[in-house]
Amino acid sequence: MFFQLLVGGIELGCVYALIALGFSLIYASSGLTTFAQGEMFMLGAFMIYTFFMMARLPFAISMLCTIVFMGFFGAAIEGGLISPLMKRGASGMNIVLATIAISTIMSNAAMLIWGAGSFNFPSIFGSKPIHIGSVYVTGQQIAIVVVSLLCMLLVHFFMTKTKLGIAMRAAAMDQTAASAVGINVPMTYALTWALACILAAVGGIMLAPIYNVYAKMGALVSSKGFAAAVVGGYGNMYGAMVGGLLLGIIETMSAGYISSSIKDIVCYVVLIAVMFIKPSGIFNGKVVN
Amino acid sequence: MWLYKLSEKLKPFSWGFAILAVAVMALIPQVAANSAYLTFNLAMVCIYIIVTAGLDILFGYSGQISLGQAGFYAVGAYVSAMLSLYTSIPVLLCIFIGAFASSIIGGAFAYPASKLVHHFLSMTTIGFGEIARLVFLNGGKVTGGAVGLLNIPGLKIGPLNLSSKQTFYYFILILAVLVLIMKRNLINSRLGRSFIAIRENQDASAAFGINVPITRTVAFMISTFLAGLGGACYAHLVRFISPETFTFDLSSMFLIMLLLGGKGSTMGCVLGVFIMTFGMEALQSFGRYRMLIYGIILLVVLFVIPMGITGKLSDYIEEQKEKIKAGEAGGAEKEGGDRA
Repeated sequence: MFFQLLVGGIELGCVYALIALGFSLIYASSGLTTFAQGEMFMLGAFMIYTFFMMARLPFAISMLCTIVFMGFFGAAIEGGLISPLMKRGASGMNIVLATIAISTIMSNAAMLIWGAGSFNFPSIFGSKPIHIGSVYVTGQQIAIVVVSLLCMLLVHFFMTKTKLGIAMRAAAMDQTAASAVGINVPMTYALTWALACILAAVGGIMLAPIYNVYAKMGALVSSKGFAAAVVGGYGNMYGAMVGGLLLGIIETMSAGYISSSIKDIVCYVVLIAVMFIKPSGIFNGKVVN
Repeated sequence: MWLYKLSEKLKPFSWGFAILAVAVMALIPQVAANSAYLTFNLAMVCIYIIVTAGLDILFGYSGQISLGQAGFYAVGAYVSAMLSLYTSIPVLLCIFIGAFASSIIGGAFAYPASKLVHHFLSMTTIGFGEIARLVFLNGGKVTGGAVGLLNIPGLKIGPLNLSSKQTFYYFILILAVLVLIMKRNLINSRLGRSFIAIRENQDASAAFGINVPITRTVAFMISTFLAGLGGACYAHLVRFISPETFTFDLSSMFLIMLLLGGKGSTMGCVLGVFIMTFGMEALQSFGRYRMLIYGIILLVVLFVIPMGITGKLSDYIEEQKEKIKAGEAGGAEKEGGDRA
């Protein structure tokens, strides 16, 4: 029972980690909080549904198309809405409200475009359970973990080893100094949003076969992703990854050992407890004055 | 120019206008056609004014954010409804016990949260709102689960029966007016000034001897008291509550009402509530497009009037005042030059 729940927890936790990574990247780069990560996750799932199920493209190409689309979409949201608002001197709170507006528009537009129903999406990596000792694991579950870990590794190498990633971190640390050495700071913001959207979309692609695809599916992960980022240490990349896994495991364990109606309450209690006791999380994010 | 001159001329009559507005509010249900529908919406306006006034004290004056007001609204509604259903406590008392319960929970929540900055406070309050909703949803028979509570009794004060929507409306209207007057007095008091001081600079206000965590907690308790009061009134107005009313969407709507009208002013929250309540009713006819249009309007508002309607107006009036002053100064100089 314990190991079976652990497998489920890791699977869910990997997706939370992808969402949390988006929250943390955006916060670290511009000090802003987005409430639209859940809807990016939803849009990712709908795009793969469109390319794979409706346009009948091969899965790899559909996934590539989705990722490219979501990258441009994230950059467009930043360039078209968020930075013009910032230029007009909007407060952090107004940006939060703007992202709430964006997520309302996205989920309702999705309902108008694709319909209000819930769509099945096939498991590409197999849904037949494989025995490993006393634990059942499906191919899809293994794929979720592998793809998520791969994404995290890619983000780690991108941010630490490539010139662009280092430029993004420099801009996050000190805007003025970064632009003085020739870094295009607005470009790094757009890139950060693009990256956050791609990560959320990958989460959506991987979870689509398990939870189906529907317009309100963003609610599954948005606040859990934020909670994961907080538990790990808000604004810290590695904290988001660890926090995501931890929250996924806590959620499935409380569903398994206590009751499934209590699992969401437990997640929010963990969020509030971390905020009250150690708001900087595991990896010391900056959350208090 | 005209706007500034008009605002200067009208200033001495502001109390008169307030009384006139309340009188019109009180008369509308008596004279309007289709009055049941209108009375219900006006009653909701009064409830929302109570909640938004509380949110204004919290956000507009003390600089703290809450995106979990729906949770406190729910606590007020459920506590008052359960007490009036399961005990023989008079409904009037139930309403205030509900508000106090919400306030106490708010205080217990706010004290440890008082050190958090904006985004984190907003996320923590969202967490509270969700916990409150889930607790009421999973409360079994006591809270009615997903169905909620039915047949909540109406208000009776002694021989006075205020249980119909028409009569209960007057009770809420009086409450809303009292809340607005008390808010105005609070802001001009020592406590209100310390809220503003903390909003402007925490370290400086601590240096002036203001106990920052306690004062922030007090602001939170006042605002959650009013949220609970609004919720309790809602429960006895509609006479039926279920967890699906008290979602995050309601919390964000309270905040949007405040920001649309303009935070930090009495007129602001009243205007915002009116526009949002009747605006949402008007959008009802758009059916499936309703929430989409709502989102787009919200974005446009954030772009065009980020400080809300009253914020925009007062900026405009200030600008004209400056112009007039500059004009007068220029004219005086010219006259002086002529004489010489």
